[in-house]
Amino acid sequence: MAAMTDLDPPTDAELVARYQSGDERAAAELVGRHAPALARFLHGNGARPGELDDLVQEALFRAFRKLDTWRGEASFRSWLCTIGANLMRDAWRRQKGRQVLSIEDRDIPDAADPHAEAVASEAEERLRAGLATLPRLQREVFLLRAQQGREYDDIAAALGTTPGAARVHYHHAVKRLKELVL
Amino acid sequence: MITCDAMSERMPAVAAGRSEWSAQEAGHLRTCADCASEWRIVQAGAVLGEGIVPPGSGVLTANLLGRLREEKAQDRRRRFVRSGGLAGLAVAASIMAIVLVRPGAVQPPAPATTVAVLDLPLAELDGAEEADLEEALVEFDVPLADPAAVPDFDGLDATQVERALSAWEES
Repeated sequence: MAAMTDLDPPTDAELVARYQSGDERAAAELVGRHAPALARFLHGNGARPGELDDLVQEALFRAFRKLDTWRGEASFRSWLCTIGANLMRDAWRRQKGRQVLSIEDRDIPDAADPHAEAVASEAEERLRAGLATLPRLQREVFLLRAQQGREYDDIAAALGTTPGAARVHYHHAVKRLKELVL
Repeated sequence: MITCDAMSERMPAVAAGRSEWSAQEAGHLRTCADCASEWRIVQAGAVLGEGIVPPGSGVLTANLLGRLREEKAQDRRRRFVRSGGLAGLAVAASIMAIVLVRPGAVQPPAPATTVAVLDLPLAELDGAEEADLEEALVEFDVPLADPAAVPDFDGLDATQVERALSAWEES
């Protein structure tokens, strides 16, 4: 194991501890470190470009409000992503009460949004459409594994399951995406 | 011998650029259609949303810290109202009382003194003339017993006093 030096960047746990003792610069560093990955995760999970900024903001707010519940079993990144995923699920449940949204309506980016058009390549859209048809755990495990590069132990801790179950969800997701996307 | 499971395990790290395929792994990928299709899916997943640009971290942090501060302030207000507010009001009331009763303090105007009047109705006197009322008062002023009729107990012994009282009560 490599020895820590003063030049090593602080770990997420150290930044959280610094923020909790009143250092707001630590919060800025955590946000800078994880917000882009959170936005990508939420995009892959089906967030529309128009709602993405608000979702990122709200997920960060919820995470910082309950920082004392983050025990470090899961990485800060995975924990934050699952908070974002739960937030999206809550929002969709509320929307369902007001109007019926098809998966396609929910997941295809707004064509009038030039930013969405720029980022939505054909392959990416096929993958997003395929992901939208997966059960929640399969979709979230796939994104944490393939997009965020997390290990099964970490994914399992973030999603409250076992590493073996996370592995099974991942393989089901890959099998289904092969059928849908390729 | 490379297994498909081992290839699957390695794919996210290679797709993220943290590792590279060995020659043997690359060879497996060329000959195994199943691994090749999984590799395409994992590669697509690894770059999913790469063009997404979230708000600047400065803006995000400023909004985040602002909301957190506001929430903390609201919590403090709620806690004050729940626990400290009433105690504070009691202390304030005590201070006010001390200030008002100390010597030389300006006293608040005293309330007008009122005397309760006991109104006993004497119905039989309501319609009486003044002369009749005077006569009634004179009658009320008459002693209960004639002083001359009260025996002088000073010179009697105990038996005589007892006998005198009995005779007086019987009369």
